[in-house]
Amino acid sequence: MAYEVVLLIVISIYAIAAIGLNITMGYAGQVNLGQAAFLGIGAFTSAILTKTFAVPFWISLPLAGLISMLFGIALGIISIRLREDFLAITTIGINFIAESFFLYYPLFGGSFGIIDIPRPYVFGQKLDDTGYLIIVLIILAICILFSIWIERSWMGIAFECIKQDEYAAEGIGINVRKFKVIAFSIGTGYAGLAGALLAHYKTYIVYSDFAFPVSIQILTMTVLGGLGNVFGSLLGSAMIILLPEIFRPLLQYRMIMYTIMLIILLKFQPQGIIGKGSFLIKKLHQILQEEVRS
Amino acid sequence: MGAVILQLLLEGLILGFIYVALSIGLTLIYGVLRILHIAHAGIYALGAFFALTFHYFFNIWISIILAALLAALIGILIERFAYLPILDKPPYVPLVISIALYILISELSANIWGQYPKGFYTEIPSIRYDLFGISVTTYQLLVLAIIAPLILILWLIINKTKIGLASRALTQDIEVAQIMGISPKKVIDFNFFIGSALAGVCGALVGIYYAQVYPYMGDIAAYKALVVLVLGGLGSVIGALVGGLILGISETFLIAYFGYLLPREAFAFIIMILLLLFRPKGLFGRGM
Repeated sequence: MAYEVVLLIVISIYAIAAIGLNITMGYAGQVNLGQAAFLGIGAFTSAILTKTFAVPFWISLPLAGLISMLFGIALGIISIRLREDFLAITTIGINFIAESFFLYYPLFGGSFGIIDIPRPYVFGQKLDDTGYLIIVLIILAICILFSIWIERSWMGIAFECIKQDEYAAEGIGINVRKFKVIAFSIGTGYAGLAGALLAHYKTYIVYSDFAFPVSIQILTMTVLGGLGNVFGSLLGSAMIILLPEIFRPLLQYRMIMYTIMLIILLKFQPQGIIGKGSFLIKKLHQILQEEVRS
Repeated sequence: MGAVILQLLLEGLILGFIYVALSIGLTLIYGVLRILHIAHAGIYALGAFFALTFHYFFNIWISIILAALLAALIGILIERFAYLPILDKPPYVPLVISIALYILISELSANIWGQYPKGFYTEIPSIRYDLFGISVTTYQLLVLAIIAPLILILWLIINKTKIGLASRALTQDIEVAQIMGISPKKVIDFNFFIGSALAGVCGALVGIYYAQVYPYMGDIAAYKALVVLVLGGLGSVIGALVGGLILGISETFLIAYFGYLLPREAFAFIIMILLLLFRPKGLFGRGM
């Protein structure tokens, strides 16, 4: 049982980061290849606040999201001037800069990282894994609901317009700059929350937990399930975390299998497993329609 | 003081030439396909491994040439089987596939040649010369003596030959170029061949220079080459040349004088982001 709880916690935490990326990339069409940097900003913020300044978890968690969001706003402001590929490379750069800062400055514990990050307390009781899972699931649920609300609100429509055609969006009176910054700030805020949750769950973080490959992992979660679909991000996170467990006997070839799967999937199903117009969804529709007819 | 500056200049120049050689391939490929070919860094690492493996059987010069040819072949295979079929997909698809290919290549080489750095020792002796107070090693000379002429030859090919003209035309406007009777397939093949061969040579030389080869040696190189690509303005070969040299030299000087302020690897990206804020299309970029 304990093992399943661990897996569920990890899946949910990464799902929060993936859903955040989905808002930036899937809704608003702004590439962010540095999501792990914001995960790291959240994680280190919360870790340093709780450990060095003895701030309680319940205050440091929103603060972590907020500070990550501030950096996201900075990235959003940079992104206003950059298009697609330039933006992609800039976000990769931000990930590398963040990683090297975490490694270089003693505040972040250097190459040893920060250890003994306290687990949160509820009613004076230290949370065990199951308790922590409940907290993470509640936050995940809030994140999913918020994401669905965004999708259905005027903000979602504005994001969709910007994704389809920036100039046309500008033409019909959407403030493209504002919404780009909003998209980045929400996406990175999610990453900050996820980072803080990760830090307090693992109780030990080090710079390499937030390196560029982690960004790619989060990106893969988002793309695998279906870009632009909240539940796609959820499914993608579950797959990316669970597949290595299934392929455990093939430890050495794990990354190879991974990447081959990803390449094949993207080649034939670029919209992801449960994205709009994907094979699975089409099939389901077909079956449902036949059911209705008969 | 003067000698120190000259010494740094030399080291910056070598680093710069390595960056240029790597990013020319990226630039040529971005120019025609508009794909950020991150797997290019995988080809660079493969070039080093191929040279190391061939070196068990042949002398170092033949090994480097064979490594370059094999690297070029892999480049073309990637083009044919990974990139050409997905050109009509949304832009994040080629990007993710390219990153996946890069990880695939480094993991495959980690499985074939082992995860840990392998020593790369050649029959070329390591001698240190003193010229006007600067110390130069034979390996530094080797890198300069091979990469600089290669870049010059490439420069001539792109500017003086028919296929070079076709490549430049395609970079500017694919449809008009096709109307003029240019076959994009041939040019794309050509660009992948040249770019990948150059990356292979580059990897082999870097392996010899640092006397070691490892599967993840492309990690940093990949992103530095991207920085050069951006500095030059995506898709401009002259931009890649100037951008690479500027990055190599400025990075060496910044690290030498301000290295205590910031971590080493961050400099290139900070230079890039600052430049992008002032020139969002890169140094030599024109409207796209």
